[in-house]
Amino acid sequence: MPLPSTETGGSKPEQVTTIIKKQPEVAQKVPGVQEKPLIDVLVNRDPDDPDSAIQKLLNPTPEAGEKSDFTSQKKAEEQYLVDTQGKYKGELDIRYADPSTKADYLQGQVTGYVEGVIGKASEKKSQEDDVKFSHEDTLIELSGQKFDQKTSGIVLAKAQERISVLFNSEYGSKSPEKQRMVAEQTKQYLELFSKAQTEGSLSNDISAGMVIRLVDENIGKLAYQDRKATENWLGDHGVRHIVGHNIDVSMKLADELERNGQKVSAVDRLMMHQIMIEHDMGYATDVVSKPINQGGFGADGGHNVLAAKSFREQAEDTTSPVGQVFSSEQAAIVHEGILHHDSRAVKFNLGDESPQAKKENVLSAIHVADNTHAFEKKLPEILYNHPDTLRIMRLMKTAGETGDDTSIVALRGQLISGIDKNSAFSDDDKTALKLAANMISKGSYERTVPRICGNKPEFEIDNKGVLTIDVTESAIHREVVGVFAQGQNEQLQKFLGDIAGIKNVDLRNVDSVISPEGTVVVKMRTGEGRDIEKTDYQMKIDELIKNSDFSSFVIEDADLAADQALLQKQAESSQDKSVQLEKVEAVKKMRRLNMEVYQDSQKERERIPEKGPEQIV
Amino acid sequence: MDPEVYRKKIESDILKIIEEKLKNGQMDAVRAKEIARMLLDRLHPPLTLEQIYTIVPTLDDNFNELISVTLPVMQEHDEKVRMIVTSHAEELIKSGRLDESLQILKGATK
Repeated sequence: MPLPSTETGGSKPEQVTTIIKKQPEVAQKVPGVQEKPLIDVLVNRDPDDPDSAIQKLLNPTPEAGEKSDFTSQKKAEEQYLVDTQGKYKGELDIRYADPSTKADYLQGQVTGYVEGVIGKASEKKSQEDDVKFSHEDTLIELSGQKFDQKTSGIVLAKAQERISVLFNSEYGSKSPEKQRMVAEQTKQYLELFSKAQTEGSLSNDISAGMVIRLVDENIGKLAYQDRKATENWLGDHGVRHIVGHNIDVSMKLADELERNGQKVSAVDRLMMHQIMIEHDMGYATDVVSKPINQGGFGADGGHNVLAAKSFREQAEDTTSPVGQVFSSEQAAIVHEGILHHDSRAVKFNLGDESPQAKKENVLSAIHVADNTHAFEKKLPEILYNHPDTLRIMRLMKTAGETGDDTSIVALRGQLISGIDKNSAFSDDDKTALKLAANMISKGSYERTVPRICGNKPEFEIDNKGVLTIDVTESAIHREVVGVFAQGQNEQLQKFLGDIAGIKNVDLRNVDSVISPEGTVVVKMRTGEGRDIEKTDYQMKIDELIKNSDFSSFVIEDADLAADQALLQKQAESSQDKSVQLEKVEAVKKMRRLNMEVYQDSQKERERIPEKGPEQIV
Repeated sequence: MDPEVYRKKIESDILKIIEEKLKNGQMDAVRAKEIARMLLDRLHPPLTLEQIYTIVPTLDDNFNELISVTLPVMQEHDEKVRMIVTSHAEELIKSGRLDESLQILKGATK
C-alpha cells in the first residue's frame, strides 16, 4: 500500500477544499416534528456509550413491547440455577457469575481467535497476491445498502472466503469436511434469511453490513467452539456436532413436519440454526474449558445456562447483529432453545398454526437433534480424526491395569509424536490435539469407546405427530467393545434414557421402545439386524483391530487380564494372600512382556518400510 | 492510544455534529438516520487503529457535513506517517544510504 502524501497532509485535501466551498449557506430553521425525538436521543445520550445513541437514532420511539428488557429470560436462567442447585452444589452459580461468561468477554475471545487465523492467512496471501480476508472493504462497499437479492451474493462470497481460511487451511483447521459443512450451513442460513424477509418475519430494512457481521460472528463462534472442542476428551461439541448432526437433524425434522402438512416458516428454521450455533458456547467459556482441559470432569455441568446468558446479553445489546436482527419474541424462543437444549420434552404439533404450536415444534426439534447425537460422529476429535488413538488407548489400558506408569508416559509420547507427524493436520490442529493427547489416561477408553456403536439415526414423523427414530448397531461395534472388554450397546442404553426416558432395557429381547408420553418411538436393529456397510471411520477402525499383530496382542492380553482378575479375587478371600499376590504380579509381568513384544513388532515394521507399518496414522 | 476509546471519540464527535445540525434545522431526520446506519455498518467494534485510519476517510464520502471530524483524523494519521518516514530517511542518510533514503521519500509522496 503506498504511503499517504506527506506534502498535502491528507489523501484528498483538494477534494475537501472543493467540497467545503460547495457547501451552501444553510439558514437556521426550527426543527420539525420528525427531528424532535432524535434531538431528545442526542441530548440525553450517555457520553461513554455513543453506540447506543447511534442505534436509538434509527428507532427513536420504539413501540411498546418492540424490544423487551429480557427480564423474563434472566429469571429463567436464575430458575435454572435454582433447579440444578442440588446437582451442581453451587459450583454452577460461581461459573455463571464469573466475568469470563459475559457475552462481551466471550465474543472477544471468538474475535481474537478468528483475527489470529485471518491475520496469518492475510499476511501470507498478501505476499502472493492482493487477497484480503478482512471485511472492512466490503462493509465500505456495501455501506447504506440493504440486504437483498443483489447484496446477498456478495455476503455469501465473502463468508465462503472466510470459511475456507478458518476450516480448511494451514492457518486454522485443515478439514475439507468441516469446510463443506459450514459452507453449506451458511448458504442455507442466508437463503432462510432472505425467505424470512419475504415472509415478513424479518425486517426488509436490515443493512447488508449488519448481515455480514451476523454471519461473520456465527462462523467465528463455530470456529472457536470447534477449536476448543478439539482440545479435550469430551464428546464432540464442534462443527461435527453443531452443524453435521444438530442443524442437519433439525432441518430433517422440519421437513418431516412439512411432509405432514404442518407449516414451518423460514424464520423458525433460521432460529433452529441460531439456537444450535449458540447452544454449546458454554463449553467454550474459560470456567468450563480450563478445568476440563486439566483432566477434570463436571465443570461442563449446566453449560446450557452459560450459553443462554451469553446469547441474552447479545440480544440485549441493540447494536449487536443478534440484537438488531431478531425481534424480542424470536430472541426469546432462541434463548429458551439454548437454555433447555438437552430437555427430553418432545411434542410435534400438526395442523396447528398457532405461535405456541410452532414454538413447541422448534423446541422439540432442538431437543431431539441434540439428544440423538450419541454415536461415532460425537467422538472426541482426537479419536475421530486420529484413529491411532484407539490403539494407544488399548495399550494404556494394559499399562494401567499392570501398574506400568513408565509405559503410560511413553505411550502418551507416542501419541503426541504421531499427531506431530500427521500431515493431515494444520499447526493449529496439532496444538489443540496435543493438549488432548497430554490428558490421555489408562481409563480414557471407558467413556469414549462405547460411542463406536452406531452411526446416524433415521427420523420419521407420522400423521399423528409421533416421532420414530431408527437406530442401527454399527458393523464393528461388537468387535471394538470386545477389544476393550466392554459390554455391548452401553451407549444405546444411555441413548434410550436421554431420548425416551427409559432405562435398563434388555436389548436382547426388545427391539423398540416408546416414551412414557407416547410422542417418541425408538426402533433398534442390533445383533443380526446390525449394519453390514461400514463408514469411512469404521473402515479405519476395522483395519486397526484386524491387524494381525494387534489382534494377537489383544487376544493374549484379554486371557491374561481374566487370569489376573481371578487371582486378585482369590487373593482377597485367601488367608495366605502373599502366594496369590505373587501370582498376580507374575501375570502382570506377562502382560507387560506381551505388550513389549507387540510394540517391538511395530518398531520392526517401521524400521523395514517394505513390510509396512501396521499402525494407522 | 486505545482504539476503542478513539473509535468512540470519533462517533461522539459525529453525534455532536448531528445534534447541532438537527437543532439548527440544517439536517432532517432522514439524513441523520442515514448517517447512523452508515456508522453502524462501518464503525462497529472491535476495530484496530489501522482499520480506523482506513475507514474514517470514507465516512464523508456521501456525508460532507462530517468532514470536520474526518479531516483532523486523516491529518493526524498523515503526520504520524510523515514523522516515521522522515525519521527512517534520516537514519539512512546518516548511515550513508542516500539512494535508499530517496526511494523511501519518493514512495511516501506517491
